[in-house]
Amino acid sequence: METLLTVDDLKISYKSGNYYIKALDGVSFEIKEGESLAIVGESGSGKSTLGMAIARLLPPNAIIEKGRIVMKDIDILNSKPDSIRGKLISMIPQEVGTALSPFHKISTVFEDVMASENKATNILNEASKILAFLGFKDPERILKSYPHELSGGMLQRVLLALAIIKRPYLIIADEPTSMVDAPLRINIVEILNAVRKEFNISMIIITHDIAITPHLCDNIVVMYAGKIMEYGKAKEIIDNPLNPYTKLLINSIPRIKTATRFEVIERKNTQIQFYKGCPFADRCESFMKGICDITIPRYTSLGNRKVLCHLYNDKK
Amino acid sequence: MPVSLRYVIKRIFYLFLVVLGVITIVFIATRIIPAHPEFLWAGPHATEEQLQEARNELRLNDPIWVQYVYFIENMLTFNFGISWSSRHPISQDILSALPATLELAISGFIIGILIGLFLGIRAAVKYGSIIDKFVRSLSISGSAIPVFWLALIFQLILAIKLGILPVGYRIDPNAEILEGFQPITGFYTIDTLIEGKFDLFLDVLKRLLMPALVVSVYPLCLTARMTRSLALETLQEDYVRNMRSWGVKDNVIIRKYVIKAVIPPLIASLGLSFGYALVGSFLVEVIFAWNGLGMYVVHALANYDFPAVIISVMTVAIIYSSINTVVDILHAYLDPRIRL
Ligand SMILES: Nc1ncnc2c1ncn2[C@@H]1O[C@H](COP(=O)(O)OP(=O)(O)OP(=O)(O)O)[C@@H](O)[C@H]1O
Ligand SMILES: [Mg+2]
Repeated sequence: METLLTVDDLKISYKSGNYYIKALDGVSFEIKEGESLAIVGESGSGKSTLGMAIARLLPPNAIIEKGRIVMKDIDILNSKPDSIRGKLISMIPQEVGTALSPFHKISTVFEDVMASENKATNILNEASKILAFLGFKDPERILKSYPHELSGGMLQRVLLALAIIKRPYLIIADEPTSMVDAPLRINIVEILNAVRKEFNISMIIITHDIAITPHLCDNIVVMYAGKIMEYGKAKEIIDNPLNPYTKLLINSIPRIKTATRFEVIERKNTQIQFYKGCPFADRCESFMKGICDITIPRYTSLGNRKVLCHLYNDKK
Repeated sequence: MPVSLRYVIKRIFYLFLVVLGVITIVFIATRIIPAHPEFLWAGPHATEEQLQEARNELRLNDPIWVQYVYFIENMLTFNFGISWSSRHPISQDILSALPATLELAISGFIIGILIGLFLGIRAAVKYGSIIDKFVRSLSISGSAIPVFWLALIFQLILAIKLGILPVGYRIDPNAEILEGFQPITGFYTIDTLIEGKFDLFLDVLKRLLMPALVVSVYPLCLTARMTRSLALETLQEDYVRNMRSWGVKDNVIIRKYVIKAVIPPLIASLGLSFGYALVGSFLVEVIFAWNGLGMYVVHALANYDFPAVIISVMTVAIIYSSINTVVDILHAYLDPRIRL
């Protein structure tokens, strides 16, 4: 399989008043064509920042300090956003209720999304076809509706249709399951899988919910404090997590805790970190004094797994 | 239909209450000031007898509450009486003065909201830029300046210093004689066009422009301020970001989505904007020798012509309340989530 997307040593900070908040700290990974990847990690670990950087949707106060994102020989970070968004890479938003303009019919949004495309295609026909594929019995009625006339589950499928109508290579879904109840959640997993097969679209699924990832994704990236802690096949990671942080995620599924260790970095020295050693050191069960709190861990490759942890640094 | 009959009936009832309240307040105000309208009514050399007769005619000898009940009775039967100063039927006086005021207020209002909308959107899109700072300071300082002072400054600059706009009167005072101009609707911009007198139309437009600009300042500032903050809010919305992520161009998002989101809440402020324009017109009429309701009220007050004052104020209250009702209904039509 060919490589679709390469993210190489990406470093991103947010400017906030006189401070810089470091959100991504040297992130590298690859996605092959048709493959799907989960990005998991607790709140504040930089998942959304990574997704937005790839989709060219970072807010104006984000600063890309270093790194490259390449898709099919296109330098994503140095291309015009208009040539990327929707065409190469699309997003499915996290919040469903506020995702569409309350003043416009669904059909209007489809028309505007498709406005830059080949004029010969009948936009609403195309939209109806995709909506029908996503399980709507009466797509014409959906197109004539306003968002507030549709349920959460219906809206989610409409959003998915908007994301894939221009046939991008990659869609990024930020917390696709966070807003809906359990039965719908399974439904969405099924739909996403069906879309992947039918349209051969790669996916990045951003989620807190590591439990759903084996049903949806081939690979997992586990993030903590802007760093990738572990990367590998989804099944293998769930069955046998190597990094202590991944273990913690799988066992306890921590909620609401935030990676706070290096949130604020002083203006002049963006590169200086507040901690020494491993970002997860203070919460780690396998903490080794004199090692984890002093030296920065390196990535270790074990088969097709990559781990950032001192436990494996010496085992080579 | 987003508007129910019940709602319309309710609003008509409110309108009635508001008008009653306004009449009552102005009625009381005119009766407690020490004034002697009978002197003007009876003429300069009236005898004590004639004065007494005048008091009887004007019902000034009755207790206030009797006068009040009598007055309300007349209002309810649409009997507006005659002006104590002009001795014409008040309704006729008002109908001939009102178009001048409305023409001025509506022009100022339209200029104000259009420019305000434009400036507000520009400021929000270029948040933090020089345009934004300019709009922000303009909208704050602009609404702090008294209208009459602004009117004098405009006259000083545009008419006296630069000489580009005429000042005073709604139309060339000789037009009636020289060109046989006869008002039909009372809106001179319309009348001159109906009569096909294009040069007169331009003259009317030129004379209208300066007072309209003065009147436009308050609605402009209000609209610019509201538009700016509403547009800033809208630009933060999830759906704006989502549409960007699906590749919708920024100018489409602003032209179509941001404006459409800004207008319904802005409509809600149009009532207030129009109120500003109406009051503004009242205040500048005297300065521009503009023969409207503002002039009429000033004249009526100077002559202790109380019924004329009360009924003029009542007219304004009715216009203002009706506009607000129309605005609410419009709001319901523009925002599919609202039902009235
Ligand atoms: N617009 C912004 N301005 C300043 N700081 C930001 C901004 N967006 C995110 N951050 C900060 O960057 C860090 C990473 O945030 P990010 O939203 O990428 O995390 P996340 O993993 O998506 O979290 P969550 O699971 O809560 O969505 C956090 O410390 C956050 O506070
Ligand atoms: Mg997030």
